[in-house]
This record gives sequence, C-alpha cells and structure tokens, in this order.
Amino acid sequence: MNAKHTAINNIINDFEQVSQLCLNQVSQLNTLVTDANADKESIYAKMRDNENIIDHFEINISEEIINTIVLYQPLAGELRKLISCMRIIGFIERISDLSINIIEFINRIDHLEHLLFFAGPMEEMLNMTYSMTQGAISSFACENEESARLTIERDDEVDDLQRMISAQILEKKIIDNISSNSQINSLICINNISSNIERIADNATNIAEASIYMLKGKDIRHS
Amino acid sequence: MNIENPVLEIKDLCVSYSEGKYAVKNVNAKVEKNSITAIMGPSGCGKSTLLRAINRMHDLYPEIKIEGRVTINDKNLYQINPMRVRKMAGMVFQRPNPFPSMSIYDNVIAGYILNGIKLKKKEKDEIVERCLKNVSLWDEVKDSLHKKGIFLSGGQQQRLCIARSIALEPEILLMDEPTSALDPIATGKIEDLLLELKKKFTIVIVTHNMSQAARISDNSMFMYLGDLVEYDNTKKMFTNPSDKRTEQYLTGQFG
Repeated sequence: MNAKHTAINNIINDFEQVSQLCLNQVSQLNTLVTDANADKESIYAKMRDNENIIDHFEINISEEIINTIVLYQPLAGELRKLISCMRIIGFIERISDLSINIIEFINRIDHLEHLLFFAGPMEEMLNMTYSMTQGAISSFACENEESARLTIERDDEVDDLQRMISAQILEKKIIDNISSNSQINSLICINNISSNIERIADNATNIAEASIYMLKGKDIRHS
Repeated sequence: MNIENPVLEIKDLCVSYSEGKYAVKNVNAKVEKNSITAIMGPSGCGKSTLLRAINRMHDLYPEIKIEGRVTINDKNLYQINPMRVRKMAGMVFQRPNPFPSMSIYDNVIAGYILNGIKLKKKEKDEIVERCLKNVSLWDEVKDSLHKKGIFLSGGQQQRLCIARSIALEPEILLMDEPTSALDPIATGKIEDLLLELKKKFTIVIVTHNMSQAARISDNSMFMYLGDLVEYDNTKKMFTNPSDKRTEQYLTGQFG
C-alpha cells in the first residue's frame, strides 16, 4: 500500500469513528424525548463531550483531506471519495449541533407532560431520522447506492411528521386553552425540537446525496 | 466522443513493428480544432507510435506497417507528399533539438530553408520576430539572434523548437513529452505557452504527467496495450472515467 492509499485509509478510519459518535448523539435523543425517568444530566454531559470530539474530528479530517489532495493529487473515484467525505463531515457536525440544540430545548421545557404527550410521534420521527442517518452513513462507508436512495426517499415522510406535530401542537394550545407563558414556552420548545429533528433528517439526506456523488460521479443536489 | 469541427481524424489506425504484432490497434478518434488533446498511458502503450503515425515519421522505417486513415481537414495524409504532411503537422520532441550549426534566427526559419522555399529578407525577419514573440522568446533573444541556438537554456531551446515548428503555420502541433526534460519553472512556461498557442493551433501532446494533462488539456485519450481505451473531456475523465482501466491508471493501480 503506497503513501496515498495509507492517507486515504486513515481518513476513512477517522470518518468511521466520527460517524459512530454522530449516530450515538441521535440515538440518545430518543431516550431523552421519550423516557421521563432517564438520567438527563448524565446524558447531556455525554452528548456535550461527544459534540466537542466531533468538532475536533471535523477540523482534523478536513485538514487531512486537503493535505492528501495537495500531496498526492488523487483522481477519479479517489478524488470523489475525498470530496464527498469532506462534505459529509460537515453534515455530521451539523447533526451533532442540532442534537445539542434539542437537549437545550428539552432543558427549557417546564411542562414535561406536554413533551410526553407528543412522545409517540416524536419517537416515530426520531426512529426514522436515526434510520436515515445510519443508512446514509453506511451508503458512503459500504459504497451502497440503494441505501443512499432509500434515505432520500424517506425525507418527505419526516417532513410530513414534523408538519403533523406542529399542527397538533397548535391544536392542543387551542383545545386545552393554554394561555400561561411557561406552557406556551414549553409548546414552542417542543415545536423547535421537532423542527431540529427534521433538520437532522435533511442532513442525512445531504449525506446520502454526497454518497451518490462518490459512487456515480453525479451531483443530484437540488434535483 | 462527439467532436464538432474536427481538424484531425484518425480512422481504424493500426501500426505494427513486426508481422502480427500491433503497437497501435484500431484507433478511431477526432481531434477538435483549437484544442489541446493529451495522450496518456503507461510506458509501451503506443502513445508515441500513434503520434508519429500522424506526421508519417514511420515512413523512415520500411518494416513498420500502417493501416487505416489519417486526415487533416479531410486530406488523407497517406496520399500526399510526406514533406507536405510535415508542414501540416509540426512536431516537437522530448529533448530540445535546435539545429546545432544554425543560429537562433536560422533555426526559426529552418523549415523554409530545408524545403527550398525562398523568402525575402523582410519576410524572414517578420517570420522570425512573429514566431519568437508567439513563444515569448523574442525579448530574451532579440539582441542575439545570430548566436547559435544551443547556447540557450533548456527551456529556451524548447521554446525555440516550438517557434521553428509554428513558423510553417501548421494545422496541428504534435508534441511528444515536450517538458519531461525541463525543470518545473521551464515546464510552467511551456504550459502557459501551449494554452496561448491553442488559440491559433490544434495541439496533440503525449505526456506521462497526469497533472500536466489535467492542467492544460481540453480532451484526453487513455491508451493501454495499443488500444484507445477511453477518449473524453479531460475534466470528465479525471473525475469520473467510464472505463475501469482508466480509473485504475488514474488512481495509480498500474502505470
């Protein structure tokens, strides 16, 4: 194995580590949103630590990719792999940021009963989002086009769920005649949580699109 | 690959050095006018053989057999006088080779001298100045035109050879690894020159340097074991080649 291939393999190894951390972030969200007895402080601390590690990885991997391109001038499939990896690392970092946003919104909810009221659709949304993120990352790591395409197809389902949750939040406010500031604030936070989950799914879709670029040399963004 | 306005067309070209052994096999290609086309491939794949078949250099070796057709602007090069072919297709070699007994001035117009074409002094002066300016050498040598060409640096000598080849106003310029004997700065100057020259000429360049092909060529050919494996727009070929062998070559798996 020559120096170029070693450099590319090192980048992929780092990618695998950071993508596992990303999946951990998303899977922890499920516990936070649906389990009233979860040890939230401990989960928050772990997620914040992971966020710092992911940020660090993003910078290091980006630098490794640039160095590899400068030093070894990879072409064709190798170049596309590195360019896709660079894009995907950015999306992974964003997914982690969004996960932290979600825990911060959870922290601001005074009326946890409202969060638990929406636990069902939230859990469904989170499961779908986790599955999309996992499928998208695996489509890159395992060079699997079908996995990428399945992720992209599911994005609309997540969007539909988010719209449904927003509508139900508004309905709840009206039906239950919620008027206190703290309760309204809680509902707003819940709406923001569902928006951030939907944004995670969007980033999973972006990862899948980057994967397809690597595999096919075709940029399908915005199509 | 779909080429509009081809100036050079190669059809079913085969070149063999001995009976039954082909160095170039059934090559079909059209070269776009005012473009730079790079020919790449591992050593021994037939790149230089293909290039030399265009300007009939293989005529000098009777044991080499050529089949097929090569045309420039629809004129079949194997049906016209070879000297005329070499005016239509100028050639620059790997090692700079200014004629050692001639001055810089005479090197530029050597094509006219050797073809017995008589020119007035004013015409010669005009050709020399124009060609040396075209290769960005005029300012460096204008005060020493009557010195021998071999006293120039490697990069200057190569630019002189390019000036010599364009003096006869060829249709195409054939270049066989023109920078492989030069240092990086001289190489950079030649590459910049080629990008300028393609506005007036059509250039076909054999190169081992993939980065060079990526930097300067519009279209690229990849050859392997005598076959033209892939011929496409350079950006497309370098980012998403169609043939697995091209991918393997570009990623260093052989070559």
